Amino acid sequence: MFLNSLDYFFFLTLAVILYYLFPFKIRWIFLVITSYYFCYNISVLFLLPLMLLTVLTFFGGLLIFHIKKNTEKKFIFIFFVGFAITILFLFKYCNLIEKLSPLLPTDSFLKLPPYYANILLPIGISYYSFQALSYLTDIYIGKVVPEKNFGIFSLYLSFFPKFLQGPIERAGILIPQFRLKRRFNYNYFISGSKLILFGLFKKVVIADRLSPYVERVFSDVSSYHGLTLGVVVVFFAIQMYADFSGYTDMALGSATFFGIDLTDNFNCPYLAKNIQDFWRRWHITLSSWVRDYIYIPLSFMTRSFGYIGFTASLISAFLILGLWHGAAKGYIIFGFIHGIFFSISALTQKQRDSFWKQYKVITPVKTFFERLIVLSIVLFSFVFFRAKSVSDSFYIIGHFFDFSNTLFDFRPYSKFLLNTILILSFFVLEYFIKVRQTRETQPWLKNILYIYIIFSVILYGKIANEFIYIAF
Amino acid sequence: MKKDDIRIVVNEIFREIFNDTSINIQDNMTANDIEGWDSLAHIIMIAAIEKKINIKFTLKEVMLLNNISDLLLCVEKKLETRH
Repeated sequence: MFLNSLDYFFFLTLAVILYYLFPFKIRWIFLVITSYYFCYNISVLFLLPLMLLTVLTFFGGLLIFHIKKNTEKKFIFIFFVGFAITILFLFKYCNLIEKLSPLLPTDSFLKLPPYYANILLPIGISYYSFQALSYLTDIYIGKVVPEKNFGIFSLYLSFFPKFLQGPIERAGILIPQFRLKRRFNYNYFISGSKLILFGLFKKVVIADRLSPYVERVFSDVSSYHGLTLGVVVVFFAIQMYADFSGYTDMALGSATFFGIDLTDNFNCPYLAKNIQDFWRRWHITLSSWVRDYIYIPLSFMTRSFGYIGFTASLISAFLILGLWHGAAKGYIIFGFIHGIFFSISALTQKQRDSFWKQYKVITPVKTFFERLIVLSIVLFSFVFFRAKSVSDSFYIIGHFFDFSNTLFDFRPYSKFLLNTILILSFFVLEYFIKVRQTRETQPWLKNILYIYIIFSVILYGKIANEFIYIAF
Repeated sequence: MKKDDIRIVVNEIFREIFNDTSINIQDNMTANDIEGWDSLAHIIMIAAIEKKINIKFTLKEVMLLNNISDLLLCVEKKLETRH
């Protein structure tokens, strides 16, 4: 049951009605049952890592908190964090072990039993395991106290609107919300519905219409060159943003119905003026997680090495961010590219500022060039992210400017004009809904925008594909 | 070192690092309020305070810093325990 399915809308409607019919004291129990049913409905096997991590993190957190002796506390903390990482590794990255498996002797205990292939990559594990890790760390450093109610804690990891693809929430922000007494709020209902509608538009009208283009070209890159390849990379960037931010809007909207505010993962990332700014706007809950739990500890420990320590910490943090998507070379290169450009950008920020000042470049021109540079770097990194292999990535980059035969090959792009118009309308909607925020927009214009969204979903929506980030 | 002196020293470090003489740190200020307070500047600022006041932060303390008030309080506590 994915968020863009009819099943989900029936499930959500029923869950919201029942939620408000139950007395406040037992609503959290209802949410736990609903969330576990949601997970069970996808696959019963996915309950195993979720339950394992829930039990481990809950008791680990209590133990870390209650032990007073520093050395013992540190040992217990490392033990539970190691355990949680092991679970993540075994369930998410064990395809690595599977690849190594043929090299091992036939009777090796490391050999995977054949049935293991069925429980590879349980959906949502990358998101809730990172929540578990931040929970244990926050208790260890004294930022939060452990949750004593096992049910409410299990909800922190399993709350169904964010279960599949995040956002990766922090315990200090999400857990207290499950205890707040809320009545059905009409304004919350309307804002949640609008979020879901816009998210659905992004997913079924934009991302899913671009998906065949992207798949067609990326699965056979050597048949194309020049502008055709350039356009597909831009389409992939739009598809990825529409897909992931569409899911996030639907998750945020669904949570709003229960009076829960989840953290937004996107803030117009393609308008970023430098790479640091991009990562403050793109997959915000993952980038802030990596900043707080990987980059800050690493750079603090290497601070005596000056800029070398800073650069090494940043690149390491981005490599982990890349690996979070999966154990593929493309993701590691994606992380490495961002680590390198982030370091260069941070280290040259002052010089760049003085350059613009020295030549008295007017702000719109400066902003245009800054955005163009960031966008070029991001598109370059997306080639490695999306291509089927590293050699395909290099083929795409090497043939961007190859205009030897036709300038633009329309073969993979059926209904090009219609889809281009829909994409342009998406930019207009983004401008009024996200960039300008709806509150600044006239009410009549808002109504027209949402009527347009509803009609587009009905007329042009494609309910077929799962979300891209569900695979991570 | 008194509380006000700590604030003056930390303020000077901020002005130097962010190359802005108009900075006047306030308790509730965060990285969002000072232009250029990014991941690099954060660690440079921590290292500069350690050097100037001759203290050593722990990783736990650094991870718990949310705003200027947390930073000043942390420096104050470290100086208190030193005496």
